[in-house]
Amino acid sequence: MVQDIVESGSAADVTFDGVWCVFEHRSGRLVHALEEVSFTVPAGQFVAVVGRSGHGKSTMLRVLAGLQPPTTGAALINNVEVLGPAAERSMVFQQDTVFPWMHVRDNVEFALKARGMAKAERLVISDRTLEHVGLTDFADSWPRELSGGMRKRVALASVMAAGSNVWLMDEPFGSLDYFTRRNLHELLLEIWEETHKTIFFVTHDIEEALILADRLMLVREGKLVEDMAVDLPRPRDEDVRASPEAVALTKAILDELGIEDSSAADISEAE
Amino acid sequence: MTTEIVHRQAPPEAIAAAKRARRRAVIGRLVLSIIGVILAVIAWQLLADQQGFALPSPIDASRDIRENFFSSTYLEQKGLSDGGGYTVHLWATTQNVLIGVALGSALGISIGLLSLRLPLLSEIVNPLAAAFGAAPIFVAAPFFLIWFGIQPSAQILMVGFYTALLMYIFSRRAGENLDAGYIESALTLGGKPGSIFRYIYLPGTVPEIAGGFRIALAGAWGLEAIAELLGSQEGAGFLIKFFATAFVVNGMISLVVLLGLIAIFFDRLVVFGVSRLTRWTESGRQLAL
Repeated sequence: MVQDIVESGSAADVTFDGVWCVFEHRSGRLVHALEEVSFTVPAGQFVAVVGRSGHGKSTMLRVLAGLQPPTTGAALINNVEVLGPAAERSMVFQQDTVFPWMHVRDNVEFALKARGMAKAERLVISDRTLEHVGLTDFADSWPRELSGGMRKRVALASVMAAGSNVWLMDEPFGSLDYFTRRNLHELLLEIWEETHKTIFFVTHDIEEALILADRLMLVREGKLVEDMAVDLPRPRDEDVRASPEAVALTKAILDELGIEDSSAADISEAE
Repeated sequence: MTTEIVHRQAPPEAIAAAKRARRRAVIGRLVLSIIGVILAVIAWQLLADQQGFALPSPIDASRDIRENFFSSTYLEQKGLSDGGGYTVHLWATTQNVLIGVALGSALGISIGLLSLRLPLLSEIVNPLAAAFGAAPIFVAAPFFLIWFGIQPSAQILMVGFYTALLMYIFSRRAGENLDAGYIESALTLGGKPGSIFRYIYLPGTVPEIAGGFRIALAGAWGLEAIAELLGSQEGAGFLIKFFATAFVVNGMISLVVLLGLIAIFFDRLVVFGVSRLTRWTESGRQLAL
């Protein structure tokens, strides 16, 4: 069981309490990356944060990760304010951040090494984690010897081994081909269904959000414009995604994200 | 319905062809290196054949090396050795270079990487590095001689100073160039400053630092020789200066060639070491071939 693999804790409640993130541009113009965002996510929920590029999705995740302090307001995990990065909130990034100078196993064991765990104990956890993501045979490989999809599996395994309660995923599969992405969706859902970690998954791909999440947060121009449940049955295969409910949900998302205003939004972003 | 793909082992001729292709690539590189050396020797011979050009031929140089390498009557007569030949002076040069580069690298890399963690240190060192980096090291050479005399320590310090400066700049740049994504990923996996420094900064900066180290080592041979030319009682540079004043051109060219060969030998050693340390990079893999 995956639950045996993870080192500590289970899932965690996540709260955003009136979070503002404001940056001053060199020109003196103020950019509202996040504008008074508030929500509460109960432990174990799979949340997809959907929106166009540059509208604040990643900033939301970075605030949760503790990599970006909010200008005002607070992010809270189990009612404790986030004041900096910690292993309880691990992140899988869009870009490849698997450490290329470490073998696959060492990557998976990084979090365990960082907290000073003994080698024998680390080995047990990394063995089981690698087995779960299907990389047992690649434990001693260099990341450069793996495909993009396999490197994402390494990133997932690292977060699993770290024992994080909240998984923050910033468009993690965005650079992968369709088939690899689908395989990773299945793997992620399998892990989530067993561990029931709280997952925040940023994506601009509506189909991906509908396959994975049971709650959607739509972000536009730094504001949380819609927070909706995804009540589609699981597993969400092609038939479910083609159902009238899914189509209606997709249309609602497109309407809310202001797709028809896309050219105007692009111009304002470029400014 | 998905068609199941069954993989078969490649036929023996395909495996043999793949092995041949790799062997050919390695041999090809070796052959090109040998051709390069042969062309250099031919060019040297052609230059030596020119009338009025005070350059001994490769054959003259090899004869001179053979006669004076381990023991040299000429050097003994001139009081420049106690029975040993060029080896005594080449060893002195090699020793100074290796000690200077080792000390300078340790200092430069330590300060360079530490300054990434301690902003105050970088505030202090950066202007100094910029000032000394802008002034050619040869300008500083006479000061080292005045301060430390014509002792090996003066040359070691000069090589060490130059190496430390270069390695500081390379280490800092390597740290700054390290993708911030790795640091952020490590932070969210629970990395603390100590573990991030040990497991991320140190290994992640090796390729760029190693590149700087090769440059520093290559430059150190020339710098040491020049320091010896300016004022020393032993070493290849000292001997070259002596030969120049006595117009012993065979000896001069022999020492230049020998010093070059020693520099190449140590560069190859460094390349071997770097290839072991950077196997995780594509270039490290190629170096290791």
